[in-house]
Amino acid sequence: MQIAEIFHLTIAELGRAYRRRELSPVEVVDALLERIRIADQHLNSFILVTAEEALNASRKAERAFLQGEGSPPLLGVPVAVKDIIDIEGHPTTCASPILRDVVAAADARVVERFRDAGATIIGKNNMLEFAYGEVHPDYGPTPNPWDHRYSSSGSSSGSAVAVAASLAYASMGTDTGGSIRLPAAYCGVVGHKPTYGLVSRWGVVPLAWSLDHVGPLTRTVADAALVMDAVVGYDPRDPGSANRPVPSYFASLTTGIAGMRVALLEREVQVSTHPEVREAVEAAARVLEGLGAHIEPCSFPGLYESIDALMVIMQAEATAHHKEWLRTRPQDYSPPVRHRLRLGGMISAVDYLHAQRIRRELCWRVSQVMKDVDVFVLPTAASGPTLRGHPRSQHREHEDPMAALIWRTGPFNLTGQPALTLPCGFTNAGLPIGLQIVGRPFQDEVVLQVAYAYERATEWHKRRPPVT
Amino acid sequence: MDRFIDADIVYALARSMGMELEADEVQQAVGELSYLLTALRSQKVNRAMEPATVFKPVEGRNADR
Repeated sequence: MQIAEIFHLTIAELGRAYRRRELSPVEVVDALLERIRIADQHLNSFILVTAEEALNASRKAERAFLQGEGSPPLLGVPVAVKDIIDIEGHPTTCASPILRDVVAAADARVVERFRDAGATIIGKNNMLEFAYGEVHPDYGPTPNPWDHRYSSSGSSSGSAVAVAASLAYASMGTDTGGSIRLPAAYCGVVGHKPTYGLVSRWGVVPLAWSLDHVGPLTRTVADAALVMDAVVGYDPRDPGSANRPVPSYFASLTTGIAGMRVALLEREVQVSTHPEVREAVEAAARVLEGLGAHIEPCSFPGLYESIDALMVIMQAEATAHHKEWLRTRPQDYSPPVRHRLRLGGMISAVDYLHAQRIRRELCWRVSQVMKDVDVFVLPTAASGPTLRGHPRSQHREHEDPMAALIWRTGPFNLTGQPALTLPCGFTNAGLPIGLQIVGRPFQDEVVLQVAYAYERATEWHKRRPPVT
Repeated sequence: MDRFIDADIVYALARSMGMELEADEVQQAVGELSYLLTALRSQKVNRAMEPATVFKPVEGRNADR
């Protein structure tokens, strides 16, 4: 097998190659570390590469394979985590100077789960400052691997770039308004925001606790299902964790989608959406129809308007978390993040509660609509990736650009529904377009089934960005 | 747009959190808060839609507490 082929294998293919002894975990990690060393000079997708620890873990994995021990599902698979997630003995910087030297005393729950599943953790990915919409100049941007002139969005930008550039087989990100799905869409990979409460947030620095989700970014849907199988589960240390049985997401992938009812959200497809994106999403709906799904154009008033509630809740909760640093270390934030945090301090309790009531009404309305449909489909973003240094969205005067960027993703942070993006086409400039699939709460397996069926029927996921 | 938030209010709110803002920061905050909160407050909500409560009704031996 050529070295270049190793990097692009799926997690399942890598596992098979290990079991057949066609590849060794040590040589894979060695090659990957060299690839990161070269490619990341331009991509800046890692804040920390844990080379020695990764090599030690890969040696352990190799011994386990050689001894024929029963192999856990991710044994020897190199993965990364966004640098908002604790790894014992390393700082969790959140791409901010404020936390640069604060070393985590323990692994986050998702890191524990990764280790239990045999994964090799190779490092921590760059991100937007505190996951709050802006690049901190000390950490710098992560250019889009398809074309460095373009943005990779955020906030899990380093995770999406690393996975798209085949510098990791998976990365765990976080999503408070679209921070897994938007960078995944911009970089042409799969990003899954699980149902709220499914993946523990213990050991993850919060942005807004009632909206925060942890989930995987991978190159294929099957890889996302494998990672989900490894990381889901009840954790009493996370007050939002759901104590309920979960299926095997990987095992249920092949159920098929014949007869499923798919609602195509018309407003989200039509309004303020770039024609390239609109055409790609409508074409994707036709593919699903060809696979036996019933496509029902659906209007959902209130989804767009709910972003006001999301912004109020996010800003108030974020400022509650940051209020001490905002007072004592304001100079250590980038000006846009400092400004957004200050705004959060000016939101009244009455406005916060009004926003929560709007959220509750949205949840009720979604539950009514979803009695008749299995999933929603809609674009992940209004357009393909935007040029770096240019406005990221078309926003009105005084409107926070972040609000305009996340209005197709943020509503599902309010409702907690599972939402996944996967590639469904490319712009004329050769940049990826994301299709978003949203399911009922705790029916992540249905979202993954629809995504898997679409992915198998198309070739978009086979394209690779020009990374050498 | 309702001007229910003005510079004096923003100054006072910032000071209550121990923050000193420059004049241009205050003006920006006034604009953005007015935009966001006007949009939020214009949304009507069904009376039944109270935010979720932490404690659910208890059955059994603690029901009378």
